[in-house]
Parts: sequence; structure tokens; C-alpha cells
Amino acid sequence: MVDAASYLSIRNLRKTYPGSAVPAVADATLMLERGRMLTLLGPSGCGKTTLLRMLAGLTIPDSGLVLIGGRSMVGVPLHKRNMGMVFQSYALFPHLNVVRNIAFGLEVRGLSDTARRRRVGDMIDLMHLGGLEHRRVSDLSGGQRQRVALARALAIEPDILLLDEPLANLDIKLRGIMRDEIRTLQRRLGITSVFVTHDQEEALSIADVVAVMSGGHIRQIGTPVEIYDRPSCRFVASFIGRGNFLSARYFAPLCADVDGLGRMPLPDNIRPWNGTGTLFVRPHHIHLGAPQAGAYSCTARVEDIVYAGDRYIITTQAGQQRLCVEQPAPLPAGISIGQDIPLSWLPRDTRFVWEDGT
Amino acid sequence: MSESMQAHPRWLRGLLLAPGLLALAVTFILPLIWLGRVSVLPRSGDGVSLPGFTLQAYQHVLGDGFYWWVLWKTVWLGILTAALAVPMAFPIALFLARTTTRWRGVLAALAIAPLLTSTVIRTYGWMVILGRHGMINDMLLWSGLLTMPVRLDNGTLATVIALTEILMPYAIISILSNLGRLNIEIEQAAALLGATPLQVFRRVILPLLLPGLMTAALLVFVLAVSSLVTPQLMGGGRVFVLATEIFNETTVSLNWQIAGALSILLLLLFGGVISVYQRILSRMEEQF
Ligand SMILES: Nc1ncnc2c1ncn2[C@@H]1O[C@H](COP(=O)(O)OP(=O)(O)O)[C@@H](O)[C@H]1O
Ligand SMILES: [Mg+2]
Repeated sequence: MVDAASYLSIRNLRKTYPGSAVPAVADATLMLERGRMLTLLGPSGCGKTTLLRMLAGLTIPDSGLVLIGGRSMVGVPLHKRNMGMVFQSYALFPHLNVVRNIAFGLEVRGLSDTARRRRVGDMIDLMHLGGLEHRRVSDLSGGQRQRVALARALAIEPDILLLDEPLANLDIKLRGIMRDEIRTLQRRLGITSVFVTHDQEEALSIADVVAVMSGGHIRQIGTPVEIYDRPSCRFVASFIGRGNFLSARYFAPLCADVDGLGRMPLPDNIRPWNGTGTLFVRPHHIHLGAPQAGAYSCTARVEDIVYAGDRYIITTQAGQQRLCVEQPAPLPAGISIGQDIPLSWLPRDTRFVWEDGT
Repeated sequence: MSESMQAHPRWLRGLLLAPGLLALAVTFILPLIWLGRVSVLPRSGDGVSLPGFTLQAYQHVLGDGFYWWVLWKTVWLGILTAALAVPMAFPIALFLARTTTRWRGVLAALAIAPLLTSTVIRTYGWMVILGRHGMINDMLLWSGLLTMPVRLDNGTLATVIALTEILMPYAIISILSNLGRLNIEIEQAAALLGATPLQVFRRVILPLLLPGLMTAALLVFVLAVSSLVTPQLMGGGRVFVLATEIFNETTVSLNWQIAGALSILLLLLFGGVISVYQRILSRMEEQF
């Protein structure tokens, strides 16, 4: 049953490190189509590296399965896995130069001299490493090391490419360039990839599928748009972008009773819930000025204004409820700290999210 | 020169170096000069040093085949000991660096604990084990493999065995201090790239650790070549090395000129070995 939908399949992977009370990864299950890019996104310490290392076979799971092309990877020795891995530390061979680093996987496979030379040459071109062939890796810059690590992993034509925060050690400008380069390359080569990052912007921009993790659990799996637009739980909503969370009780169809804000219209895709639930509005969906038709509106006092280049971030207090608003620059006239201003948003921009752990 | 060094005034640097330089001068340079001077003093018929200058001692030593033979035996002893101690210390150091057991600290302490006992005591220990009525002979006799005890505690073999055991802790420390270069992720990267465990060892672990292994070998070689007590006691008077000869000349023959010349030759030997070692090391670094 090797169908495209489950080229890489992870079932109930679980790992508890010795001496730890809580699992580093708990019941991780996901599937990835061939040729797709999956990002594992979550804060530091949430178990991303552990999950990736279990995929690679570097960490043995307590339970669960990894299947690639329908074949179980349990017990397959590292050197027979045909996986390309880019470590966060790059883990280049310090005693070999650039060419020998890239050629390593081909040498140990006993590839013929000519084939090897051609493949290494291709990798040098692909990763723009021309002129650095005989440098020691210790004499390379961070970005160059990163390219060598990637070239070395790609040279063996792996079934799966695994990248553990490959851009974390680069400066911010280079990070953007390398991110786009990796994405282009991954699409062109059609190589199934898993990319670990704690940077939500990086995750959303590079991925076909994002898996958001926290506390060892995968909280949500979906396309970048789904993850951003329809976060399933409070953690995902708050980790990706900013959000206003409102405690609310279901009042009547299409209407909720919100703490501190009174009655609020709901979109028709929210089903009734029991007790207190959480509604969620993105700051950039909140509108300053006269409300649009059908919008919820209220008055709020401006408490703080922060300039962020292309936009302003305005903190306001509406009754008991603190609301954060993002307004594209320039700021409309007459908005200053201490002033009461009208705020409004459309029901379709209101989401329902589950509290964490429910 | 780095900026941080330039930031310190010259006199401060000199002051910080002074105690070390002074100690080195008093304990090494001065005795060496004295030794060199003694080796070129003329000697009267009844063994009294006279003022003047002569290279007689050197002529005597270099013209005598016996000393060349001793020199060769000395080098051979050093090579044998290094060739045994380093390969034996390597897996121990690797294990100590890798193990995750709670006992790691204890094991590491145990590995170098022998350094806490004096060489004399450990050499006697080997005499007890290898002696005519020692453990090994007892066992062989008891098992019926031998009917007469054999002499194991006399000669080159016994000396090499004892020196290997005595000097191994130095090799372990030296290799351990170099294992930092070997990060486990580098090995894992090699394995994922398709290297079998043997290939990982041959292509990654060994080349990365070679400088450390060579330093360990040099250390053991130098210590073995300059050892006196063990060849003297284990050799049973049948092992001749430069150190025992120098000892003989100073305490028995009272020929300080010969002793001085032999010491200077031993020093030249060390200098030669170290420069060859440096050459090989830099050649290796270039190659990678
Ligand atoms: N080798 C290890 N031994 C014990 N605990 C570990 C080990 N590696 C990671 N952990 C713990 O497991 C949790 C997840 O770590 P990790 O997978 O590295 O997270 P991430 O990559 O998301 O930062 C953390 O709490 C971390 O401290
Ligand atoms: Mg990590």
C-alpha cells in the first residue's frame, strides 16, 4: 500500500528520556506525501529534534513506527537508511576539505571515480560552492558550511531529507536567502523533506504541511493557510502570529456572551459549546473607525502605541477586555494614548479555539 | 599578534612569565649547562676532572659499538612500549569518553589511579607476578603445563610489559584530552551517509584522533626511554638502556664525563624524535 498520501508515515511515536517524568515526544502521528515539505514548528524544547532523530533512526523510540514507502524502518541500521540529514551543528568532517565532505557518502558507497566526480561537481554547482572545493571546512563562513552540509546530504540522492533548524545559526538576511534557496531546490528535486524550525514565519513560508508541536505533542497538522487561519487550539493561535482571546459563553445561535464585551455575533461555522469557551480575533482584523455593516463594535481606550515600520501595534482596553489592534501605517488622525476610539470586526473573522489540554 | 595581547603592557607579560621561566632556568637550563660542561672536561688517570676542554668522552662513546647497541636497545624499548600502550589505552579512553553510566567518574579515576603509586612499587608488583615463584609460574606449574618454573622477570620482555602497564595511564589521559574533537553527531552523520561502523571508525574516528594518538605515543616513548627504575629492576642486569648506563657511570664507574656525554646524546635523541613528530603532524594536517 504505497500510495502517495503516505510516503512518509509516522505512527504513535513516543519517547521518554531516562530520568524524565514526561515524554519528550508523545503519540506523534502524521503522514506526508512524496515530494512534499513538512515543517515541524514549535518552541524550543517541545520535542522537534527528538522527533526528527527518531525519524532518522538516531534516537530509538519507546514505541511507534516510522514507515517510508510503506516499509517499516524499525531495526534498519543507519547506513542502510538512505536519509540525508542536515544537523543543526552541521556536523561536517573537520579533517576533510569541501570536496571530500561532499563526496563522503559516495566514497563509502563505492561509487566509481568518474560518477563520483560528476555528482560532486553537480553539487558544487547546485550549491554555488565553486572556488571553495579545496578549503578546509573550518575556514568556511556559516552560510558556506550550511551549503556544504546540504550538498553532502543531497549528494547521496536520499529518499528523505531531514533538516534540523538549518538556518538558526545564520544572520537574518542570509537566513531569508537560504530559506528560499532550500525551498526552490526541494521543489525542483522533488525530494520529500522534513524541516525543523522554531520560527513561525520560516515554517509557514517554506512548508507544504506544517505540524505545530508543544510539550511533546503535535497540536495541529495542516497547510500553512489552515494553521494560520484556523488554529485548532489556543497554543497554535498564540504561537503563530498574535491574537486576542476572549472568554465567552454560547448564548443563542450566531450569538455569544463575551466577558467584558457583552453580546457578540458569531459566524455560522461555529457550533454551540458548553460552559466557557474561547473566541479568537487576529489584531489585523480589528478595524478602527466607523464599523462595517454587520460588524461587532465597541469603544476602547488606547493604552499604548508601538511603531513597527509598516504598521502600528495599538494596545487598548475595552471594558475588562484588553484588545490588541494592528493598523497599517500611517496612523489615522486623532489616535493617541488615553483616547477612546471605536473598534469593530466582522463575525467571519471570529474563530473558536479549544483551550489547551482539551 | 591579537589585540587582547597588545592590550597588556609588555612588562606585565614579562612579570607573569617570570616565575615559570625562573623555575625552568633553575631546574633545567642550569643543570643542562653544567652537564654539558662536565662532559667536555679532561679526566686524569685516577678519575679526577681537570680544567680544560676535550671531546674525549664523545669520541669514546661514539667510537664504541657497545653504546650504539645500547642506543638501539633504548629506542627499541621505547617503540615497543609505545606500540603496546597506545593501542591498549585507545579503547579505554574511547569507552571513558562515550559511556553514559553513572560510574564514569569512578572508572576514569580508576584508569589513572596507578599514577598514585610509585614506579618502584609497581615494578615490584610486576616482579611478584612474573617472578620465579610468582603468580604466573605458580599457575602454569599447578595446571601441569610446566614442570619447572621459567624466568619471566628478567629481560626485555618483562621490562616492556611492566613499562606498558606503568605508562598506560599517561596514554589514556593524553588520548582523552583529544577526544573533544570527536563529536557524536559527526559519527552519526557519517553513518547516515552510508558508512558502515567499520568505515566510520576508519574514515572518521581514526583520522580525527590520530594527532592525539601520536601525542600519546610520543609521551610514552619519551617516558619509556628515560625510565630507569623499571629497566634496572625488571631487566635483572641484562637490559642495557641509556638511562641505566648513565646511572652506572655516575654511581659505579664514577665517570662523569661519559655520563654527561650520554645524557647530551639522549637529549639529542629526544630532540630528533620530537622534530620528526612535528614534521609528520604538520604533514598530516596539510593532507586533510
Ligand atoms: N539526550 C537527551 N537526554 C535527556 N533529555 C533530553 C535529551 N534530548 C532532549 N531532551 C529533552 O527532551 C525535550 C525535547 O528536546 P528536543 O527534542 O531537543 O526539543 P527541540 O528540538 O524542540 O528544542 C527537552 O525537554 C529536552 O530537555
Ligand atoms: Mg532542537
